[in-house]
Amino acid sequence: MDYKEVYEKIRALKANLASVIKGKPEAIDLTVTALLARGHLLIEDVPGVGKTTLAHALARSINAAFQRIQFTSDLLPSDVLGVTVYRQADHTFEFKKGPIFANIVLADEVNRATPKTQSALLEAMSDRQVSVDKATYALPEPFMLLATQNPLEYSGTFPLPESQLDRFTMCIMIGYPDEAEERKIIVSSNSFEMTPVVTAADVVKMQSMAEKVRVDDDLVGYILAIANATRRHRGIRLGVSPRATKALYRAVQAHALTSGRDYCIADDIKRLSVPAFAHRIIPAERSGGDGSGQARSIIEDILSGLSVPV
Amino acid sequence: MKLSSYTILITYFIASLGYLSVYLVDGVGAPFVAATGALAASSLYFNLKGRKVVHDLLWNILAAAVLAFFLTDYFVLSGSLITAASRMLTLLLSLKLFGLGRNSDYLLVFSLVFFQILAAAASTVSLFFFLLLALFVLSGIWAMIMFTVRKDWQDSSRKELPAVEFGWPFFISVIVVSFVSIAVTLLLFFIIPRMGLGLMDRKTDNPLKVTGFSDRIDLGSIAPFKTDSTVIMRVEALNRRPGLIYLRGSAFDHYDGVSWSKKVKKDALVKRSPDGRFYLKAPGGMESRSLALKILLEPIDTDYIFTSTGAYAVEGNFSNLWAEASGALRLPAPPYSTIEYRVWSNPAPLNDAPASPQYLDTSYIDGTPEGVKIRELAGSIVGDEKDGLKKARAVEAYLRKNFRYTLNPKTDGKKPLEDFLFRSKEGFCEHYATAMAVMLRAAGIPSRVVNGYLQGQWSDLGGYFIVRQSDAHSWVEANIGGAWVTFDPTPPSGVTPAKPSRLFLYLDYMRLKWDRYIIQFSLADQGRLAQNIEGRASGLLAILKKPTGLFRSSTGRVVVIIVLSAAAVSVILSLRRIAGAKRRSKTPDFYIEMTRILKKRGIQRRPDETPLEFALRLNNREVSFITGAYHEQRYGGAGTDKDFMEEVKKTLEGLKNTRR
Repeated sequence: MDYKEVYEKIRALKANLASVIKGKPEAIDLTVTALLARGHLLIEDVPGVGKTTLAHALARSINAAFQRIQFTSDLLPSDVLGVTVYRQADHTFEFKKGPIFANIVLADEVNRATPKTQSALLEAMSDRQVSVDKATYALPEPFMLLATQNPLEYSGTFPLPESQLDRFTMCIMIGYPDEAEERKIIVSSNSFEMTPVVTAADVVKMQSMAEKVRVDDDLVGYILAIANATRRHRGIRLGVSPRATKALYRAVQAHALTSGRDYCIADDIKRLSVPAFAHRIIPAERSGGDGSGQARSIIEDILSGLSVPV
Repeated sequence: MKLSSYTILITYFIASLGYLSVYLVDGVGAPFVAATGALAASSLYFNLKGRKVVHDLLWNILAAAVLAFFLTDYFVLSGSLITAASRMLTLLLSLKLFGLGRNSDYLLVFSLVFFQILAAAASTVSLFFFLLLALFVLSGIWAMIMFTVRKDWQDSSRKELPAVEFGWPFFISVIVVSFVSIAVTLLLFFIIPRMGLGLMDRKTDNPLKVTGFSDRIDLGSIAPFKTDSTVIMRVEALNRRPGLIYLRGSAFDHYDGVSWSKKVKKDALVKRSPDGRFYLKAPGGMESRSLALKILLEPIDTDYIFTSTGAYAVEGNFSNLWAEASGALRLPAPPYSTIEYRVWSNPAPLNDAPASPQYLDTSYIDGTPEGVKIRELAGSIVGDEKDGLKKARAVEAYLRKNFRYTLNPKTDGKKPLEDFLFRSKEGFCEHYATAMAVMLRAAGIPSRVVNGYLQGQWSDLGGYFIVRQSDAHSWVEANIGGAWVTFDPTPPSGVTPAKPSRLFLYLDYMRLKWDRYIIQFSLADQGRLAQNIEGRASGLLAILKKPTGLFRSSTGRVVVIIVLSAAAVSVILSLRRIAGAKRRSKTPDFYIEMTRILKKRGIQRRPDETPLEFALRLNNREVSFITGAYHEQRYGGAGTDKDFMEEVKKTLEGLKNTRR
């Protein structure tokens, strides 16, 4: 597969998603970027703006296994990972794979589950494998977790711990559509027909292509400058980790690919810094409002104070 | 009217102020001002069309040419620094008006006008100049406000300047604001206490009490002050001469048994001569041997100023001086703050007029029973010596040898002289001086007692003498052969004064410099500074005319060193710039070229802006194309194939030729 084919497939994938998620090219762009960066995506927004639809549409556009897990407070780790059962017939234990064993997994309202269940995702997200009862099971390739959460409703929720948040490549918002788009959404039929445009194998190939995208030394320096600035910024209690800079690096490569380039430019970094870093930092004071909005504006502030390599 | 037209108009208005003020400078000449003014007026046409005729490169060449013109003008034509500099500024202004574009161009115009006004200030006293200055301040404020607004608009990335109302209401409010601020400034100027006097001069309303300088002084009144170490003055000898310096205050001619007084009061008013000095008498053709002192006198409660013996000229910031018959000098009033003055004196006795009869007044010894004893003593000391000088030396030696120095002589104060001479045989300077003066008169030599200060303590830090209360002294002047000669019959006290600490010397030195350069810094000092620079410059001129002398004089060496190091620094800087460009050569040349073209038009990428964002902001076809090419070459590793570069080059040309 050469770059031309990749660009073609990416364009088809984006077009497919755009037919369902109307007027949100940015969200689509970032979703595809996360997919190509072998990342996971946290979608943080109010109910009803299309979080679940986006995840559905992505899964259906790829000819791949899709699972949806509705997170509730009584959900147990075994409900996610799977369970070992005793088979009376041949007196053996057999592992029944849970819903996590799929290519695209939607963890809906992920902050409603208890920390115990949330942390069951940790190994799956970082190592792409699941360990149950001394046995380790690899997850299928590609594997991408899309989690959604409602930033406004706090009662009965368990906010994701920092370690968990750090494993999401990006955190995006979808936002309300504009009036014209919403008009289209209202009048369109509820059910949508989607045909897969790429196969799971294609996605794996595209992911490895993304890793080959050129990133100039100066641009790596720019990433490091942003990361260092978050570690020194007075408004930030905790800056970003090396895991975060690596995630941004991968995301930037994938973003170049989705933009039809086999090389990165500074804009890729500037564009992705907010979705990749904002959810990972802890602002010094959570002064009312929603913390993520504050974090975003801090990152934007950092970007406006750094000079871009030319 | 558009804002750009306003800025151009105000710029021309301010420029016209510059031309008018240059017209006031001596020697610039009306034809020159008219010619350059006409040149400037013709530039208005281009500016109203928004065309910049003189671009950066041309401006640099022209500026260099103007500098060359300045050097020729100064060295060959006018020979005056101010005239040549004014001409140079005027030429630069006329040329810069053809190259208005960026804000910095306008700023340069304003600064040129400012310097023109400064030049005019240095060479004119015309009232018209004040009008120009006031107009410059007013329009300057107006222009500054307008340019700040203009720059803010440009920074907020709007391309077109808004057609906001900069009309009459704005102008009037600016005038009101300016006048209010000037009024407040004036108010502050008048009510804030003068810093120097308020903070550093603790003695403004509490002058130092000194003694010995009233019309009548009792013998023994100096004693209490002989242990007071308060500093009275600081004396700098501008040319050292051997021997002690006696700082004369007042002199007395009449002794009544307990006190000295001035019987003859014949004060003469000394007027300032055109060269700023007060001449007390003719220097007598001995200026080359004269002693010049610079004296900083603390405020004291007497109006006497102190001079060295044989003073013939004084220079200082006083309106006039009173000279007493004895040569003592008095100010019209006691000084209220530290004053600085210079004194020239000729220590060699001058051939003065014969002494007035009051210096031979022996009425006291003739009218008292012990007077005979004094006369006899004087006679026995002098013997049958005929020469006046030898007689005086004998008396001086007698007193020095046979009497003991003490600050607490045994006397009831009714007959201090007789107690000193015949009974206790101890006393201090006043007793010695009185005894000598009285005995000289008995021996027929005119004499007087002088009160003043000894030179005091030497500070090697600043190279000056620190004179204190304890240096107060009395001595004798005797008229020998028509000249007044100083005699000091007082023997050394035997007590060496305590050596002051180093710290004290440092503090005193700092205080002296503070007094001199902060508090006393005056118009005259500014003038002296200017003259000094002018003098140095003309010295340089003389050196340059004879290039071989360049290394022989110290000024020449300094100039050569400065020129060489400036050249070295500029070479190093440009090498570094070239090296830096090489290091940064990852950025393709054509992108740097594009940045340069845009910068000339006042368009710049913000540091935090990516090239793509910059291109999107400008929304210009050529810029977008070049940015795309830049991305491909800089990050995409695209080859530099010929067609590609050709295309880029063409686009650059197109960008260069488009006008906004």
